[in-house]
Amino acid sequence: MENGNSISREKKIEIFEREFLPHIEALKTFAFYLTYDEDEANDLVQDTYLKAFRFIEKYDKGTNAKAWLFKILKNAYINDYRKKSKQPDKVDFEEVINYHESEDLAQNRYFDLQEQIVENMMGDEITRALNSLPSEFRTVILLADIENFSYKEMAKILDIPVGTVRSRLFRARNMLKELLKKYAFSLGYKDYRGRKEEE
Amino acid sequence: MIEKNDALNFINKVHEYLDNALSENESSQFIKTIQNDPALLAILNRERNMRTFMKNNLQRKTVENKFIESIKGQLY
Repeated sequence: MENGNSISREKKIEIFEREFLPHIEALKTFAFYLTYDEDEANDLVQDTYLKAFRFIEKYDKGTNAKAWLFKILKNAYINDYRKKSKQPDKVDFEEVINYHESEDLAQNRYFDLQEQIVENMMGDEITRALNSLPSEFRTVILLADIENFSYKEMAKILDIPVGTVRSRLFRARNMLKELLKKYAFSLGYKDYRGRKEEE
Repeated sequence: MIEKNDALNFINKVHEYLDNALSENESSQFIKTIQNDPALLAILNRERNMRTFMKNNLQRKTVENKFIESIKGQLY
């Protein structure tokens, strides 16, 4: 045992390799879509794993390692962001979130997207659209639609109520569809829904 | 004409269904309710396709073995 901890070093390494390391590519993808910088994403992932190992006693073996690691990474990202936000041209992360949350209440409409548009999109276009979403909306899309986290897991990772997860996700998906639709129209696609005959 | 609140409730249900946030009972009840309505089924399918498309097309990052080894090297 080390430093009075109850888990032996061998056991820590075993947990680390068996339960934590298999999620490294998911964490790297998440980190990359938060930072858009390969080096920063690597730093964030490395920092996450170093912290996970250091605080491994706080992890309940055999539970949801992936959600635990994502939470560590999200906190590391926010702390880093907050440091940067002290620069005058940056805004406070919480202020941005709170602003959008209050906006959510007023803007509860649904945005639909024609199937043909989606079929003709390329990965680059969806990546570009996702990139242009504010990070708190990008985050919920990545957690829900790419990593398949449940609302409850997302609420724990993001430290927000389940209801906020739902509303933020709803809004994020709408925003993404709007961006994709605008992009598709700029390429000449038309939305023919609701028309009785082709023009 | 469908009420705005009903429409929003339906859309929320679609999201919950696709996000696996409904119980087994609620899911089958939901499908039963919409299975004879082509317009509602179309909305469900569009949402489903959008997610499938996202999952299949968003670029996932890979990690080189030497990166993993460098993390391990700092720990043990």
